[in-house]
Amino acid sequence: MNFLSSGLAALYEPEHEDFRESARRYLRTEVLPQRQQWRDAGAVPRRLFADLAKIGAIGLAVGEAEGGAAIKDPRFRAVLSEEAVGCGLDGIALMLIAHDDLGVELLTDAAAGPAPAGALSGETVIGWSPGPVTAVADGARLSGEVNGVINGNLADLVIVAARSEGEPALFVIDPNAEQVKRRRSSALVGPEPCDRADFRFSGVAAQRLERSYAQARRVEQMSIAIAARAGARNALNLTLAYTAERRAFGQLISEFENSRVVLAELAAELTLLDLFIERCLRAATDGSLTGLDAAIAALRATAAYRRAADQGVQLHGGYGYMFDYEIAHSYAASGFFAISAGGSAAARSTIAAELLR
Amino acid sequence: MRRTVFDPEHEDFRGRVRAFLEAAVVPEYSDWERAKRPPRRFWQRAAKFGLLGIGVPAEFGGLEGSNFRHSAIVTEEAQAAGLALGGLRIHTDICMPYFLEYANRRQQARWLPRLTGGDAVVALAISEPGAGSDIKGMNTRARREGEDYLVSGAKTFISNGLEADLIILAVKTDPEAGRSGLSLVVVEAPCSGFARGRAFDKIGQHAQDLAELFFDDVRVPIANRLGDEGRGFEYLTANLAQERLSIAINSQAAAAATLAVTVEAMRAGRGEPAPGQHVKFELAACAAELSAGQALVDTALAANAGGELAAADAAAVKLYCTELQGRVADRCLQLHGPDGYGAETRIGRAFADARVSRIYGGSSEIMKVIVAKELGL
Ligand SMILES: Cc1cc2nc3c(=O)[nH]c(=O)nc-3n(C[C@H](O)[C@H](O)[C@H](O)COP(=O)(O)OP(=O)(O)OC[C@H]3O[C@@H](n4cnc5c(N)ncnc54)[C@H](O)[C@@H]3O)c2cc1C
Repeated sequence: MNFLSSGLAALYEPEHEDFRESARRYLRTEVLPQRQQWRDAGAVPRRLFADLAKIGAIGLAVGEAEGGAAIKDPRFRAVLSEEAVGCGLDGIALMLIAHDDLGVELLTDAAAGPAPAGALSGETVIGWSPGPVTAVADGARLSGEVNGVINGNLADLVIVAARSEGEPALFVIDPNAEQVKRRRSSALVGPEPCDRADFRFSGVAAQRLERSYAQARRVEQMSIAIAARAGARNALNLTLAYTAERRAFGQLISEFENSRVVLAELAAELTLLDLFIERCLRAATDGSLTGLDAAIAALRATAAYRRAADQGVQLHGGYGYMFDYEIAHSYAASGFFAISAGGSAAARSTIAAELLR
Repeated sequence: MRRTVFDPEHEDFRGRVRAFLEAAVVPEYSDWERAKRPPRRFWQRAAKFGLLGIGVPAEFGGLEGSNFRHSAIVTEEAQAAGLALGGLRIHTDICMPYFLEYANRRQQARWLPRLTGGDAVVALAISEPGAGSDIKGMNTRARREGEDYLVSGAKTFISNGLEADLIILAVKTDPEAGRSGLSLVVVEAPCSGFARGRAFDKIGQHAQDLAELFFDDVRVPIANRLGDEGRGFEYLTANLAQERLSIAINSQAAAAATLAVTVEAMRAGRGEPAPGQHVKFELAACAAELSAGQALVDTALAANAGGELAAADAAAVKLYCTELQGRVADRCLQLHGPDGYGAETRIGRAFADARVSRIYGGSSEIMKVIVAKELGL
């Protein structure tokens, strides 16, 4: 049985599953075959977003009323993330989170009006900076250094968090403005490919967003949690399949008692995780997701991904260290989720702050 | 804590090794990573310095008065500088003992000067696509034909595989005889019927050459066999203790370097806020574990110097230190944030490099099998 296909099944309606099918087909036949080439080149082509828009995978964050492609239903985003991460496209999943979950969502609301022109068709790409808040706002001008902006090289608009009178707030800048210098970020251990750029700017004009930094954090943490949960499941699935075929000492690896203990522990952890993710997704659907729950989801899901990928590599033996095997991609990616802004450090401080308010 | 396993002359050697690595490796390490192996020039420079002659008698170009503790120093200094020199350890710590212990005088006279002189790089090829942990499950066959063996089969994950001129190859000379059907022969590359695969694309250890090797009726003179026919498994097992100690030293040193780099990064510079309590506690916990690991490594080093490092003890040391390396790399990475996860940053490299230590040279599971057996279970 494929462990990934169970889990959140109760949450999804037939229309989600239909979307899953088309997203899966597209990602596996059109995107995955290019992963190696993009990884070597250190760059993702811009047309990815337009191509994904054509299969209805962009604009999932905004309702039809705001010009979006879908009814406002975070389950579609979850399905897309599951499918991208589920075939080893963790970096692409992060790019979609940056553009769609965060970019389109934060730049679109009743007050701000419809999504930015071209954002829903993927012609306009939105970048998101997940890093610590290092930039500083002086009125409507931003200065600072921001590293690892996701979609940074492709972006036409970039959302940056900056301190404004001491408090973090969200701003959007034009990355082509003359006060902005951007260069490609150096490659990560994983996930690659993933478009990232480092920005330096001084006194660049910025528009402040209505949405609060805490709101963005919540969305980011939830999206990271969903992706990491899918990564953990994928790692376990890969390991189940591998250990059920590989032999040593005349036995299948899955027949060693130690392997069974490891796999059982992971399955138990991931099953419990799903209950909580399900609760969060339901809450996100009706708009009642709290920052506390999103942070808990991010903390636990990223830790589960790390553990599942780490144990998965171990049970693959030497093969697990080679990128010819999908578990190696999972491992390299899993390290990033836990340390990105939606990851553990920020999550723990959010949780503690809520608890001790 | 003060270490007592090294003599003053070891410490003098340490200083020179440090200077050598700074000059000969640090500036070009990123190029090695891109090329997926050290250049030939490195082996020649290492030879000139004497690194390739550690533990080898002077008559064969060895480094006078050197022993395995000198190798430990090389590993420690490499890791302190952020370098994972797996290929070098394969050459000196892992392969050299086979030539010193099992090669006859004629073989030694032929091969050792090339090995110490940097004219030949060496690999040890045991693992096969179908046989990793389970060495006895190997399929590479050596059939006698006249004065030669005809060798056929495939090996995988062979460190130094692309560069090697000499390959210590584990073969089955008698497929029916289980562990007493294994022998070791030295293949001199290039030779007809021998081919190398591509360089593997791996999570880390990018400067280490790793490849598959293929043998199709390769003619290897029987005179190239190390030791007796049928005793290969015994030789491998005997040498594994030092091989595992070498990995443990490497892991311990890598973890210590990871902690040092992280402490440096977290220490408040002028005008910066001091690190929080969580950071301090994590680093303090790593430091405490590292002290325990160092005591274990040094005890094992002393035992090895006295010729009494038992196989099960070496397995326990490898198990402990490689798991320690994994924990320290993970905890330190968490403190760095996304900027620390670059493929060419110290921490990114440390994290990616660390992952393999729990797998190669016998996985953690196999180490536990060995230790459990020693417990009488
Ligand atoms: C970077 C690198 C360098 C290497 N260099 C060399 C080299 O120079 N020369 C060489 O010969 N080899 C080399 N190897 C191979 C390495 O030694 C093997 O990968 C290792 O021995 C594991 O074998 P395997 O990969 O076939 O895993 P498998 O044996 O298939 O093991 C798969 C999993 O099953 C577990 N397992 C196996 N047996 C048991 C058991 N009895 N009980 C419980 N669990 C078990 C293992 O621990 C592992 O988790 C290298 C490998 C790597 C990755």
